[in-house]
Amino acid sequence: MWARLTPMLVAAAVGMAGCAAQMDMQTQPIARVSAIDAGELEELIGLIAEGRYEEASSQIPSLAARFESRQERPRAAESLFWLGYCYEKLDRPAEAAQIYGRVLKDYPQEPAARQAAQRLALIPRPTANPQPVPGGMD
Amino acid sequence: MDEQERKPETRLEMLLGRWGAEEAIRGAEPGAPPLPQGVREPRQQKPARPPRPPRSLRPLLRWAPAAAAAALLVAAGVVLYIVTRGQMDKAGSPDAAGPPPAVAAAEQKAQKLQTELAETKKQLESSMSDLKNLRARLEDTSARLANAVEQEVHAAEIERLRTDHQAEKRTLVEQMEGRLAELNRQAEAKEKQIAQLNEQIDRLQQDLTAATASDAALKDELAGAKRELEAARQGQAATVGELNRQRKLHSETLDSLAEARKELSQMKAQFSSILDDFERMYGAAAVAGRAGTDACQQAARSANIVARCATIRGDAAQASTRKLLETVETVFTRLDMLDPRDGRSAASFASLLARTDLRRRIDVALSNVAQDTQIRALLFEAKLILAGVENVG
Repeated sequence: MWARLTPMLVAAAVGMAGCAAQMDMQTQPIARVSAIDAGELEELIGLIAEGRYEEASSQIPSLAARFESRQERPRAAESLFWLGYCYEKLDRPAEAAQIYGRVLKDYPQEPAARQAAQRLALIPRPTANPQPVPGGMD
Repeated sequence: MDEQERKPETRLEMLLGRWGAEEAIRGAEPGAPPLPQGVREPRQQKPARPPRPPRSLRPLLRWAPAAAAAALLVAAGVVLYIVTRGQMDKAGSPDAAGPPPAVAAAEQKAQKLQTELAETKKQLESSMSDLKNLRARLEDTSARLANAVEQEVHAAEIERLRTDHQAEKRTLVEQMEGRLAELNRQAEAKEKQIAQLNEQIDRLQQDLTAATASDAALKDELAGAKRELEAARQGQAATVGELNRQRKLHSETLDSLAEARKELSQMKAQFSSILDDFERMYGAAAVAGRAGTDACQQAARSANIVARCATIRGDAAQASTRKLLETVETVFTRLDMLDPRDGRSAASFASLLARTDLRRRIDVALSNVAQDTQIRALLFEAKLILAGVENVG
């Protein structure tokens, strides 16, 4: 009986190993791109810590769009928060409030939402409806 | 050409002598015709140079008297022949009683011929006299002509000599001018050399003056150096004493410094221990029951670091402090959003801390004693929390 089962077990094992390898080959490029974008986010936060808000704010929207397209919600929320943070430091409070509001609306469960709420509370209310943000994704 | 030949007078005399000799030879060649009687011999002016008529008339004048005498002899012969023939004719005729008419005619004719002969003789004598006069005039003219020719020759010779003399003089002048120009050039070259030598002399004089001045200055300096050396020797003794005293003092100071270092080391150890205890107490008070990044996040939230940064940033007097507070705000915002469950988050936060050099900048700001109290408290609390994060990392 074992003699009959052994080839079948080997074939099953080989088939399962092949499927696992194929799945790994499909997910590996996505993980690599995600790591690259995560590194880019770290680099942009470094720019913000150095006070280079204008430079960082010009690169964040595309990065946030890539995180959103891959459903990486924590990083997408954090990217949007840092965009609002840059607008706040660049003395563009209306645009900052709009971005913070979007973080609260789209990513209420993420840690960035708590920070966005705190910062939004410190921003004075705009007197008129804010214009659409150029870097926004709505 | 020697000096004697160069003199114009000497050369003129030589040329005249040579010309006179040639003329004497030339005059001695033809033989002089015999002079008729009564003709005075020409005056002998100089035996060496007798005056001569022109060469074309000279043969005629020499043979004219002989020709005239021959013509007279021929005429006399003709007359005698005619007379003799007439007498022969008379003697032979048949009627010789009285002179026949033909003889008479012949006698008349002969008489007439004698008369003509006498006239011809007179004419001949007159001609001879005229010839004599002419010869005298010719002699005189020849003498004057010879004088004129001689004078002309002399003048030509003098002119030639003058020309030669002028040419020689011109040559000499040119030679002298060339020599003078050469001498001028040599003089200019010499002047240049003299000028250069003068310049060299001036330079040497200046150098000598400078060297003399330098020598004097060096002597003064040497005297000063000697004085300074003496003073230095005197000071050296005092310095040696002072040095010994300072060495002793230095040794005592080193001992004191070692003592102070030892005390400082002990104080640093005590301070470090106190700071560690404080950090532990601060962390324990802020984040009771938490650990790791989560505890640091909780401590930052409890201290409300981010909001306080935004509030007190306006109180900072220095731009560097305001910039530091902005960095603290950014870093603590990042800390607040870290995922404590993600192991990579602690590493990325440590990288951000290293990039901003935040702890060193906080220490520099805290060393400023004039810093605002609230800012100092905030920065100190931030330093404690970041120390906890580093310990976690």
